[in-house]
Amino acid sequence: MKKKFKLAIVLALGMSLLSACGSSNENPVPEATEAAGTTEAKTITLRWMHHIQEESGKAWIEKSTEEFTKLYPNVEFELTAMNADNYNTMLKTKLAAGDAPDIFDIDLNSNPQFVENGYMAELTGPFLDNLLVVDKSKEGKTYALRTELTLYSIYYNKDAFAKAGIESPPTTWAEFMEACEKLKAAGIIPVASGYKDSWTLNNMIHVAKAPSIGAYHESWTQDLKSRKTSFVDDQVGFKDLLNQITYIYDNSQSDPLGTTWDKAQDLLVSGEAAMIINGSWLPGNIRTKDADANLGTFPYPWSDDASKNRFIIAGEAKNSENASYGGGYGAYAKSPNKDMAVKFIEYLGSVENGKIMQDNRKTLSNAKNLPMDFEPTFDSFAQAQSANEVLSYGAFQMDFGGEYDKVFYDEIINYMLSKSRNADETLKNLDAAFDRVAKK
Amino acid sequence: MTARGNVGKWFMVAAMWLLAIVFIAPFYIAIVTSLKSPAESALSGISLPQVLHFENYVEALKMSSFFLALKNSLIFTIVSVILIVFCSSSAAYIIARNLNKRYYRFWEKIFLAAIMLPFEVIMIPTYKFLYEVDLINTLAGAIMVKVGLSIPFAIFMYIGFIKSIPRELEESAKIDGAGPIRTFWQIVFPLLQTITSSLIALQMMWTWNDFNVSLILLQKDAVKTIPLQQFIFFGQYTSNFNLAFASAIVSMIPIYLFFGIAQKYIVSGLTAGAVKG
Amino acid sequence: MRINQIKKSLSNSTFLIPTLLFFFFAVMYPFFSGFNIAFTNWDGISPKGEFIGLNNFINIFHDPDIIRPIRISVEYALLNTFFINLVALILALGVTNAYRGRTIHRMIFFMPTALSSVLAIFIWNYIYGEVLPEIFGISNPIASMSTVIPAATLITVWGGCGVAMVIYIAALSSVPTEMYESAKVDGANAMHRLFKITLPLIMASFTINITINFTSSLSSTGLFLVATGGGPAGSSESMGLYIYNNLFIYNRAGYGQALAYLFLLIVVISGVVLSTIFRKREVEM
Repeated sequence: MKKKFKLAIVLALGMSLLSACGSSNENPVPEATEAAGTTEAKTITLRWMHHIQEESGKAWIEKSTEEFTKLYPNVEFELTAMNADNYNTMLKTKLAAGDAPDIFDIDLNSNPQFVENGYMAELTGPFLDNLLVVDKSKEGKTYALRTELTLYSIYYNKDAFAKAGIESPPTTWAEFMEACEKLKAAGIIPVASGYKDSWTLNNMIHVAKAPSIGAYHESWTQDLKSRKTSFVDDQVGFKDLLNQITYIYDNSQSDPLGTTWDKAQDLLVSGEAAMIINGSWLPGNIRTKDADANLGTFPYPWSDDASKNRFIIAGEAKNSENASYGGGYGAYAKSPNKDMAVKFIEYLGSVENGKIMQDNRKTLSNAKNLPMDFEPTFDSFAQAQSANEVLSYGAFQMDFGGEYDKVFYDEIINYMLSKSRNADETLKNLDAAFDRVAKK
Repeated sequence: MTARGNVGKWFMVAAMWLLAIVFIAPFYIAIVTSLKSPAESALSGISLPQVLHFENYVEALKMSSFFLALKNSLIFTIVSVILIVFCSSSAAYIIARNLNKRYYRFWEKIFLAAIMLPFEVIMIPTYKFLYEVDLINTLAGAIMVKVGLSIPFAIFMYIGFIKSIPRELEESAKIDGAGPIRTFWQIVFPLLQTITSSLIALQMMWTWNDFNVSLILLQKDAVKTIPLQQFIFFGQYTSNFNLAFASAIVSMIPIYLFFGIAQKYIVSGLTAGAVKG
Repeated sequence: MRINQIKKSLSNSTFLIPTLLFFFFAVMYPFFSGFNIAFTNWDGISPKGEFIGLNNFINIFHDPDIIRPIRISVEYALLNTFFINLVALILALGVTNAYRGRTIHRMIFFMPTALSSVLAIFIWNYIYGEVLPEIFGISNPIASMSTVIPAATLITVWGGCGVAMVIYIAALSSVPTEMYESAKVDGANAMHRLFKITLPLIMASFTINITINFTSSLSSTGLFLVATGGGPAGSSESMGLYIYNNLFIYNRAGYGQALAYLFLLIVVISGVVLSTIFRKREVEM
């Protein structure tokens, strides 16, 4: 017995030696090389907490920090990678303890207290003019930077469409349903829905909401939360939206709630499924699975009036009453390195960084005047942009935030799963739930 | 043994084999997936790999700063366990020998209740406190928290065992003039060998796999432990299960190596503690 | 005499001091400083909250959303405790017989215990999502509202029955074989022997296993957070997860902390009740 114990200890020590060898080669924190002779500038360490796991995203982070330290050689970065699920939790815990990172990203619409408590450094200056979408508060101040332009639309496998004999993407809801029938006849699943990762359901609804509700009722989200309007008193066509959501659910692969986002992407890549309804980070993800995927995108055709079915993105508030904090990357206002952190945020909003972002992550940058040829999927969008045919949903808030989001999506799932699909009852339930949360 | 008895036994053995297969199946899946390519996995989840893609392991090791996390896990685990054994054995001894006094009964009850304390209750205050004393993102701070959280259960195990040790040995030591400290460490503690070895084995396992404490207290890359590094690796955007599983298997190897050796002690210690109740 | 007594008390307390230091540091101080939070309306983001006295605690009793999480936690705890112990007992009974392969089997049944719960959940989610549908053509069991709790329970039973099994093995081996022999002579069959001799004599191991399993299952948060996120549609949102959501997602940290304390009370009371019940049934040899 003694011998075996000794063995265990020796093994443990042996492994510590091994790891000691290993760790000296590890340098997970990219450090700025101090230019010899820069003795006047004190080294500033910028702490950036993020939740980016894919290689493409990490490459963007690495290049961004590299480029920035070229501009400011006295700056070092301390990166902390978190899991996306825990990110907000840890951010809030650290804030509570007074240990906030200098740079982080947050959805300020769901967490306005960040601004109200003075945690967000104000972002000003001409760099804002380089951006396509800038969130401004009611007082006209900007607290967070969007580095990416999110395009909520339908992404499709062009080969699958061709196989089903669909010559061009549907431009109305009727055409969309026709296309789904054609696809089914060709043995192809119309939509791949990976709802086990629940955020994909949220995003699918964003895609449907943006052009149908967001474009015309900028304050719908806030009004529902403040109970100025109700679901039952449906002035915005939400009931029709419900029907579309369930149609898509019914025309997805089997067991959408049990299918992961990853699996859904696999289905799209292989052509077993034709469409995924999500946001513009999809092509980048797909490329890591299949660099040659033949993807395209078209606007969500919610209406039977084709002229209403255009690509749509966020924009300046149409009614200044609805101005919202938005979300994205921000600098901690109470950090001793606030000024440098803000400079880094400005750099993230630059055209140069936009190019790095697009090249690496294959997502749409929020910077203006960038070439759109980095990802063929977005060709249709680029065309629409040059033809000035892209709509804006202004400052429409996609997420309800907090417990509202939870009760909202819970009720939607209940609705999709129910056999009776009683939309009126769902609207009543939604109102009851929102009333309850509003009281808390 | 009657013929009936034989058939009965045959069924039982067959049932045991079936259960063993069910129990080991997830490991099979993990290993098999880690050696496949994403395309192969997409085709079938349970098939054996056509080609052994060992490069998954190389990739995983590169991407997840494994050796640094290994070092942190080793320090975190070994130091914690030593402290846990030291503190809980001595504390349990004094409590078990003084249960006639209210003061010690009080602590016994407190520790028992502490075993059931869910972590969320103290998560934020713990973080805040450690930040205030500048121990955040330090292995030392995390070790102190882990030890404090693990002691209650260890004391519980020790008390049960100590109660069954006759006091005569300690009485004779006292007569020989030994003070209480010497009495404990030189006489009683060696008698606790079985329970100590299994406590060490159990705590090693639990501390190695610790997640709650590491998540909130060890976030900087320099101090991350293996479970946390694993967790961050598997985000909701994991698009390469094969890599993820390879990384998972690599992180399992140290604990299973240890476990293979220590299994005997875990079994013997748990059993001893259990019977004494 | 008096000085000796004081000396003795002092040296006695040195045994307790290191423990108390760590315990205060890690448990007592955070536990009590958390009360500050529970008496305020702190949102978890602002620097401070306003003192609102016992309002959080009172509101708990007016919160209809708390009922389902409690039901889910109790359901899970009952299911988990029952099956961990049932399976562990069956395994222990099996493995204490002599047959070829039993040592390997014992090792296999114990292996899942050494796996970190995060990895176990990850592997099982993969099995539920990709492997089982492939083999049996069913839909993902952990993503269906009617089967999510049993599916989650399977994960923790798989990962947790090893420890319970080992405790039962020990208890079983402490039953003297003479008792079985004389029972056989008296004509008792296997069932009789099991229920009249074996089970009563291993009651002490039931006490430990059932009490600890039940109380830790009640407060289970990580399992549901990582495996299901509380879904689908909140059908697996345990009490622990509900507390977590209030603390960090709904920005109601004061309320969440109050919930946590109240819930702790429930857990401790269950633990005390259970261990009392089972202790009474322990048979002295």
